[in-house]
Amino acid sequence: MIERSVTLRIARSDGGSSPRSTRDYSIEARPKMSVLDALLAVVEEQDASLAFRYSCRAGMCGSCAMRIDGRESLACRERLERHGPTITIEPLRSLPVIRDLLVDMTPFFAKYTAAEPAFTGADPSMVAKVDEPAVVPPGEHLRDVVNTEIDCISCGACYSACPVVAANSNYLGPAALNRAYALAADIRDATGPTARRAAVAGEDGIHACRSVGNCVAVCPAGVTPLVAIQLLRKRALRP
Amino acid sequence: MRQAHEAVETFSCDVLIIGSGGAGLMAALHAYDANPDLNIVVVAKGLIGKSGCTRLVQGGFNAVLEAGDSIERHFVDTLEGGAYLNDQELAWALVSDAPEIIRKLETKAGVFFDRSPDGTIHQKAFAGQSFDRTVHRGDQTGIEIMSRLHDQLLVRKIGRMDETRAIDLMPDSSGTRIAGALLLDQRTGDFVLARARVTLLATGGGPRMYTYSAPSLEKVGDGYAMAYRAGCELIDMEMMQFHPTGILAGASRLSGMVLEEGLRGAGAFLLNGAGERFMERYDPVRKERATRDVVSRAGYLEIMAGRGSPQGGVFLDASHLGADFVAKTFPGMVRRCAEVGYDLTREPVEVVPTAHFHMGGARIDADTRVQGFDGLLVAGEDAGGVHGANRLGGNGVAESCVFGARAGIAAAQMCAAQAWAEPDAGTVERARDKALAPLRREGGASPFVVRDRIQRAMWEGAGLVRDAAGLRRTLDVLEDVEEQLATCGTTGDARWNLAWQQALDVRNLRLAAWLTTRAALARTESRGSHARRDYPERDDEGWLAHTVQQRGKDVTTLPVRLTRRKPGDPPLPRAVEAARA
Amino acid sequence: MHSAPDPRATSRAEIVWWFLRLSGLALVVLAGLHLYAMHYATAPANTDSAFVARRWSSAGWRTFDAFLLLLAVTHGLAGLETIVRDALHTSRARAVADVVFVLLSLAAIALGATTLAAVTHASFVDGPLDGAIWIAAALHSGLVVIATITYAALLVLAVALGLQLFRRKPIGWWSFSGQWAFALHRATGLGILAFLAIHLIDIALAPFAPRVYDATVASYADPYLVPMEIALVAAVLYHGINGIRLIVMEIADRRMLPWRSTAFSLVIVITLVLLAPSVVVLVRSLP
Repeated sequence: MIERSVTLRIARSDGGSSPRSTRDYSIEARPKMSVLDALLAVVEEQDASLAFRYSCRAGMCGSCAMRIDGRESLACRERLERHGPTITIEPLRSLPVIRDLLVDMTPFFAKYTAAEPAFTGADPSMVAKVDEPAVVPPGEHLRDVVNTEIDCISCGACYSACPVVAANSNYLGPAALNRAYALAADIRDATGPTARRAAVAGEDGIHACRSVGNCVAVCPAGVTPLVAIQLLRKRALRP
Repeated sequence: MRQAHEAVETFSCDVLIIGSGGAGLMAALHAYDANPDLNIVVVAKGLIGKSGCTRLVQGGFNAVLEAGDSIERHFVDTLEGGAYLNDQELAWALVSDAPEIIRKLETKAGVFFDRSPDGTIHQKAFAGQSFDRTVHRGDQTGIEIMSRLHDQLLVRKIGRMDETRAIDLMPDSSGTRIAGALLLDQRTGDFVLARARVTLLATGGGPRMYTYSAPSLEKVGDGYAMAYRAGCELIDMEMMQFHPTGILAGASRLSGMVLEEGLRGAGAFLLNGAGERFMERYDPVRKERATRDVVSRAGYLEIMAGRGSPQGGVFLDASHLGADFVAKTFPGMVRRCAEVGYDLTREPVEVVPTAHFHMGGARIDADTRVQGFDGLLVAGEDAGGVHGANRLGGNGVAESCVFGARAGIAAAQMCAAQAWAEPDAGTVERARDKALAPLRREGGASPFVVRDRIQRAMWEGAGLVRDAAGLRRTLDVLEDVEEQLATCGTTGDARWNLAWQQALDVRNLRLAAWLTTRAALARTESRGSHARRDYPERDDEGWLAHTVQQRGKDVTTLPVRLTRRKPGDPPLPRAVEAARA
Repeated sequence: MHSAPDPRATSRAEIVWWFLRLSGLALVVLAGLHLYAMHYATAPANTDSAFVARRWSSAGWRTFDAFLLLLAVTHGLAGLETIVRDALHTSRARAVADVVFVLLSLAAIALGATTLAAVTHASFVDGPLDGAIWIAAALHSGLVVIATITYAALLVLAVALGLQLFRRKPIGWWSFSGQWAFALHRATGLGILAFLAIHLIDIALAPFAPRVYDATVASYADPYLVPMEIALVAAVLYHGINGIRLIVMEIADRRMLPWRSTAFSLVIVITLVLLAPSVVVLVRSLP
């Protein structure tokens, strides 16, 4: 196996409004290494002050979302082999930077929560009477769409890639609206069709989406917020 | 550059939950719903709802839902799988509560489990079970469960501290009343002392002490280490489950990540380097669908005998099941394999037995209380006894959710009767100083190199097949590692210092590894996941007992209480599968 | 926190969303026909006051142009308001913006209405403002300035993009077709609106100062302005065709997913194909 040297060009900063700089780190690209493996190699062998977040390393938790060569992606799923000799690594856009590649996910989850993301059963209390699960035939209308949208791992890639989020800090964003749709279309949810309308059809909700579609292009879980928002608009039209 | 400072901020709450996996979140939701006035705080080492291993669950959740199945049947499967080392009251609680927990997850948390064509919840086949009872969502059940539980957390007034690790449980001056915990905010490097009426330990154990392991990278046995240092009894620590099919991915840390059991459940083969279906020799009846301990050991022995694959593993071959079937049924697995250059739908994939789940842990009762302690609950993988010597696939997430719920309800009840206690100031200071030590030193061993050393020693000496000499060598290495750690320096900024965090991790990893190895040396028989070359037989006469480790004492044993069933009891009649639409 | 919004209330954002699309569709027809009449059936330099007189002698055309004016102004300002709103976050700032845009619309409509009303009394040979010949020079200079800014901006963008690609630096979200579609839609919308502002003023000259108007129109044949005129036609074409693409995508929802990139390529191709004849007409009309 031919081994080569790869340069990681990493955005570094002390967070907040402090100035951003880039630093180059050269690492040996061993077989099947991902960008996350490379970042960990930097920490373990060269510079333990580099800050970034990770957990499962298998593309399931969404902790390591960042911009790699300008595109939002999960660092653990970007193989070095698919990139050139220099790889630019930056934090997600539109979220406050804590340090280096570590961003504050609080605004993301605040908007997610504002879209009323929690399923509401007939009796939501965990300690109250338990019902039988709903019978849901697989071919049930729009279940195929819902099944795609519930795969969201809330990594923030779509949020970062959306130019409307970047321009309008009030916009709820693709992940939050996608979740709202998944619930609005879930026949098991007990809240009525108008329930989430107020939360998502307001001034900075679904009508602020400009149908750009970057969200679909970057989502590591194959979720399509663009479609979910369009369907939410159609749903919101019904009284 | 920010220095770590000595001041420790303090806050008080009613229920402190350390860990945000299935157990932690189910506990938080149940405690809150039982009493919304409770001040509950969930603390997690990573991002709450995203880190941890419940999220990584692929296969599913075992529960009795069909008429043709029975609680007793699930119970017997669990005991047979656990080689009768299970605490039978815990196992009974698991199988009894599981059906209701599935219903709660569906109807209250909104988890969507896959459906059969008739619209009812689909249950698939899994190894070691006499009935197809594994509820699942595609091949990534954990993501759905954790995402939905986290949604429920967001809409309740429950406090949360992300990226905050627990350093140690803090007792009061008596030593047996847990008054809270000392926490460390990884982002700022600040210590926080949390006073709580009830503390729940639910960090999720985690066997990352081997070269190949499946869990998330932050899992280092923090729970075991904290419980042991606090004086709890840890049982069956030698019982380490290896999952037979961890992916081999070159130099990537992805290696060790599990390719789910359902692949073998659906009929995939395991081949050695010579292309031979070697399970025919090790378990002619069940072959690849034998329990994980049998299959893992088989794979390991083939590799050790020189019949392994190029990367030192074996091959998992699902291609004969049909490319479309594999792609449709296991999309997550197919994608993961494709990312590292394998086509799971058409060719064999290199896999290796990987450390997956730690059956051992703190000794608890069915309400997750710890005998001899006040104000302390332990739930999920941190607790021992539920699974005995080997866990059935599908029973792990069931354990987290079932006992998390029980812990939440117990916590709410305990809060009604329990006042706060004062953490002992001396203990707090000592714990803080010990944690700060690496940050105040320069040079010494790299925590990353030390971690690798522990993993290699455990893989070689305390892995799938053990013997006294190997175990003793491993204990020697672990003792040497303890000395190395005393010199380990990770100076620098206290904020998000990954080297400092790794030093703290390695301290706990070493302790968990030491407990595992010590118990393995003590158990002079082979049972379930624990295989001794020098004691290859199962010894129900002498060894139907838990190993017990408590600080300050040698390893002791505690006979298993056979409250409901004995080994050798007549098997249940074969299940008659209910006709499915 | 503010009080919970009424779940049944139709939000302002929803109304604007609908309006942009309905008026957009109507404009595809109205502006399309207008574009054809001004840039394909004849060259812009030939649309002198006699031409205007001929056209506006028909009540049908006057009605057509009234609707065109109404829709173009409101659609354009609603679009601009959408962009401005992204940057304003307090309800007070947004309310102020709303008022400003409503006033601008009324002013533009008033100007257009006055122009159309004056048509019935105008001779189109001479008029009351004909002494102010400086207006023609002013308008021409204004256009030269806008053209220079446009050309400079395009040059800068091309150089920036070229450098990024040449130095193999990542272009981030500029590798997505949707991002280009979005940016071009906003840029063309703004360009058309800027043009519309000048156009309303110059067309008002036709009944009030036909000689000044003729001088203005003749000055548009300046070769320096030709690329911008081509860009204008391209902008109107692109904005309308891409608008149709957006509407189709929104109706088709998930069925359109695999066609996103293809649809955008199609928009570009159709725009260029439809642009070609107008370029020929324009070039042929140069002195």
